[in-house]
Amino acid sequence: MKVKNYSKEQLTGFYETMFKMRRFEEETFEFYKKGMMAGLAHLYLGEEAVATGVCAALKEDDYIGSTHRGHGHLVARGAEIDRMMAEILGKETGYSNGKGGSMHIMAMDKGILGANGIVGGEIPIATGAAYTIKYKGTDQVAVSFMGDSATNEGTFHESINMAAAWDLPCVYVIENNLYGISVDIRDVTNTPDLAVRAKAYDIPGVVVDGMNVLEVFEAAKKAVKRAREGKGPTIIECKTYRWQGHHVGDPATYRKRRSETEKEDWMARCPVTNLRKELLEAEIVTEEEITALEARVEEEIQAAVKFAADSPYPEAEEAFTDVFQQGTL
Amino acid sequence: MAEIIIMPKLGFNMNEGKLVQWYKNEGNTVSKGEPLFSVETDKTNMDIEATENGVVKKLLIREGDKIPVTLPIAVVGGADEDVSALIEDAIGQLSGGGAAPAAEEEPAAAPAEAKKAEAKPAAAPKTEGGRMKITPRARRVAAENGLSLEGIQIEGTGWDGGICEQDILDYLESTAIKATPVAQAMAKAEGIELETVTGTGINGKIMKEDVEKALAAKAKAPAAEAACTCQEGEKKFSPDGKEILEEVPYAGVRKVIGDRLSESKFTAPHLYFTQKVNLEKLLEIRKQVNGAQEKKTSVTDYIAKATIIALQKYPDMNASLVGETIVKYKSVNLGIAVASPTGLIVPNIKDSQNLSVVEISKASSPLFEKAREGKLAIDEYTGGTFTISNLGMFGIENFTAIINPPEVGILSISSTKDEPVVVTKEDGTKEIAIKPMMNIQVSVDHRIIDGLLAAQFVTEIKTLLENPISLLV
Amino acid sequence: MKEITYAQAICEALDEEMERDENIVMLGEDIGFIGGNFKTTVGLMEKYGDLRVKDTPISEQGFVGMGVGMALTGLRPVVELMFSDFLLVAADQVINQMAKIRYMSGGQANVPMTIRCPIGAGRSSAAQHSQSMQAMVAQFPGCKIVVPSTAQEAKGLLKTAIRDDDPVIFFEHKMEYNKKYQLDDIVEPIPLGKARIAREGKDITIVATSSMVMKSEEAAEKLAKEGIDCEVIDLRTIVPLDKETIIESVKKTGKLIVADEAHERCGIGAEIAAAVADDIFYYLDAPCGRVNNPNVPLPFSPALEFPLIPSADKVYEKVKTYFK
Repeated sequence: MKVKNYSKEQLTGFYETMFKMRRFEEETFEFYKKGMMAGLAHLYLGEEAVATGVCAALKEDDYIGSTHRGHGHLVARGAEIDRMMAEILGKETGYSNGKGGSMHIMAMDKGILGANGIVGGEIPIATGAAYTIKYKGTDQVAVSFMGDSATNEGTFHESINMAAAWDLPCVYVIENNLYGISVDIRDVTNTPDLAVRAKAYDIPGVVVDGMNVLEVFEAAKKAVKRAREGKGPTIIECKTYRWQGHHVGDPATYRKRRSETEKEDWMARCPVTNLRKELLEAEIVTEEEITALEARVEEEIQAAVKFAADSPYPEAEEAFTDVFQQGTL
Repeated sequence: MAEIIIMPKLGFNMNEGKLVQWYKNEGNTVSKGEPLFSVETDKTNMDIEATENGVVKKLLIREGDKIPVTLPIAVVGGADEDVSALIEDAIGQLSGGGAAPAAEEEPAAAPAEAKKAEAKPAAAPKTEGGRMKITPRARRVAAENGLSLEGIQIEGTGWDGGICEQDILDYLESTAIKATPVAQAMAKAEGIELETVTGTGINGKIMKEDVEKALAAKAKAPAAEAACTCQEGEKKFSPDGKEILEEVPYAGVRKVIGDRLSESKFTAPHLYFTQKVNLEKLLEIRKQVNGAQEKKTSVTDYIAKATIIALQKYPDMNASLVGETIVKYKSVNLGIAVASPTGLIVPNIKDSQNLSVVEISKASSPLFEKAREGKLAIDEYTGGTFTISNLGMFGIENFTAIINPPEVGILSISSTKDEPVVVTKEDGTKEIAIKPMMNIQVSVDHRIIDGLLAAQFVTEIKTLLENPISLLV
Repeated sequence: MKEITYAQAICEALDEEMERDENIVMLGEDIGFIGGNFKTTVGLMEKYGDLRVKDTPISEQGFVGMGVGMALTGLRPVVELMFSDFLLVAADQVINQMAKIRYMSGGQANVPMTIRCPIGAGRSSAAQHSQSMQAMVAQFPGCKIVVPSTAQEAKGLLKTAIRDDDPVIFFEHKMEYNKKYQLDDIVEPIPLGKARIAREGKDITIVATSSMVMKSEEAAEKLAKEGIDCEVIDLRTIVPLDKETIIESVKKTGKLIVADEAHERCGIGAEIAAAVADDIFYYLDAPCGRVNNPNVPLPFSPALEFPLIPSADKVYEKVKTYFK
């Protein structure tokens, strides 16, 4: 894909979103290292191009189903990063008042149907949203994000089978970062490409470079168009890599089994720094412009960090709210 | 099956009991539900019924003996049953308990093996692991009826042979004095206490004939016991020649009251403070209150409320001397003295501290009613923290009450009378007016209460009664 | 009044609700073309079309999860599982998703979804098609649990379940489906969380769920002739639990039996017994008793199955142990 084919606005938009995700996750990691965060978080560092490219193809009223590694999806959908960070710290000002945490940051107003802690748990939910769209006859789509390992869950097969049978407007995006915690997908799955499973459902399945936001965007655009036209679902497999281990506390030593330099090789293909370099080389933006953009994002990130850190924890009674909409526990 | 009969514990605070009368002698047959003996508690006499059919094998204490509760007092067994081991066991318990058994002669000797075989624990309710088998509900019903379960003998018919609610209700029913309406009316008219009458009807019900028998016995008794040296016809004379109208033993409830009052008067140095109270406003407000609702309030109810408020302001007055400690109570269990058939009795309103005047009135009416009928439960006239005594209805101008121990004060209320009093008008001039005036007097135990406090306390009550709005808010 | 079967009463409730609210969409196995394995959806596909009454593949996790997604995006899905046993196949979507999303989202989202599924033994369906799952799911906060008794009750409660903004699991009893009941011409929704006193009595309280209500009433009739006056409470819902009605009753009677068809261990009986002991220990005049399936899987042979199933006779026998 040539950067020349896109407007400056579109390209700086991609960069800004990816840079924001990058900085968001770096600060989340800081929270963990400083002991400010309870529990764990699964970082999106390295995978920024996937969420950015896919969500760029969506409209505001579309739906996404997210995963335990979901911060990037939320940033890409324009969720408020201060409330996200507050949720990660378990604060009262968080999206779920501290009841969800890193794995379950939900922003219903951004069409996010939940970040799911169960691998593959979100696939039928997003498929159900697609059923609603079909039933109501609107032109929305639903996107189900999932990791490589979710493709080996029953929900993957059950959901895509139904979506294909009934032409539901759903796009299934596999973020293939190669590992299910420590297990290499290549050791537990017989096909190097996961998108080939689309053949079983007689729907399109495409494999794209998940380190390249433009490639992801193009594939997503095509799949979304097909869905909106009522032609049914598509599987997009994005080959990508996570800089960190499974979560903030995982040193990920298992990755040296295949190649001592596996991580470094992937990091050389960093979607954020490479797009920056490309934009400067193609003289689409000046150094000053991109520095100013980064400074603006940095300011927003720092404000969010401060907001989250300064926010109070919820009162203990908060735990007893939001179980039911109506009636008693 | 043989069983040991024990001195029952008939109230939370009862530590020892006095055997008033045996209704059966050794060798008599006794059936379940039949009164076996009578026990004097703090203020009443109570008949205790047999819980099994059998023969009275041994009476271990004499009439008039006082022994700690739960100690054996008799052994009942089957007609041909050898209960010597059980008797020995009971005597052992008694002497261990420090009470002298009535039995002079040694129990018949029996081989040791036989003793072992025969020796059965007292037929207390079935227990499991040493705990009484009783349902929580039965426990609650017993507590509500002031029935102490300690040492009680009730046959369980509930789950797995445990004592259930119905067993407690049956027990309460069986221990209540049962008398025919005619017998009740006759006893009342003749001043006979039903507690002292042995019933011969079904389940020990007191019949007309039983009361007649008791009347006859009463008429005979003074003659037999009279301490006179000479007798002329129907007349009786004292040794120094005074004609005697009637002789009544100083005993039972009369003696309990008397002993307690003399103990109070002689151990607690009494100190008295009197105030004159203008009841004009209070009588007006009472009229309005009574006009507005069904439950009629009495002046005593307002005085009670004023006293409760004053006790909360001066908690030193709501106290008792327990050994070496002065215990001040948060609970105000306000006692109100009432005349009962057996003498003055002081039922108290438990936790009256938060009650309104009307609630006080509602709480006290049934207590007065029961007191007049002599039906107060033990817990209803024990545990008070302060007492008021109102003789206003008898036209008394002023009187001095003796403190009801272990309380530290008592308030005496005299009658309300129209009196000329000097009143200050709004413009500052004075005039004489006729106002309904009442004397109140507080008696305090000077060991604990200083004069100043007592004076403040009684003045507080006066102020409250003269500004009665404060009693209603 | 009219005489219809329990299955028809369920079908009427679905029909009337779908007529009222076009956001109600049904998913499930065999609910469309043949009108349901137990004939509870007869005629609905013809009436509302195959997009609103959807025959699904045998993918319980998939279509229950889709129901969650539909509920999150504005529909009121009614999902049928052919047997309550299949809740276990869909357990992640039921327990981790449906019941928890509102909570995990801090109240941003509601899941107005109803899962219908039949419980109960008695059809020689053996160990995987005879279970009563109501106690198991009651363990997890976040979904309401309805256990209706008669056809009239089932119709009224199903309407409320569908209208409720929270997830509801609605347990029908498969042995009731073909039984005939008298039904009011118009059945109003019955509020969730309010038990029904099916029979007043003073000697012992029998709290019952689902068909155990009718069995308990039958036992109570027989016991009344022997002078034992049973109060039968139709629990209606396990979540929310109407403790108040139970407690008022046990305060009166002092004795409690809980009759529920699920296995005894960690069941509704244990829950209610504990709740009663917590609140009104001093009103208990006997231990709390239970009538349940014993802690063995349901066997196939009628010779083995029937002796296990809690029956009117078992309720009768249990009550008799309190009045020896």
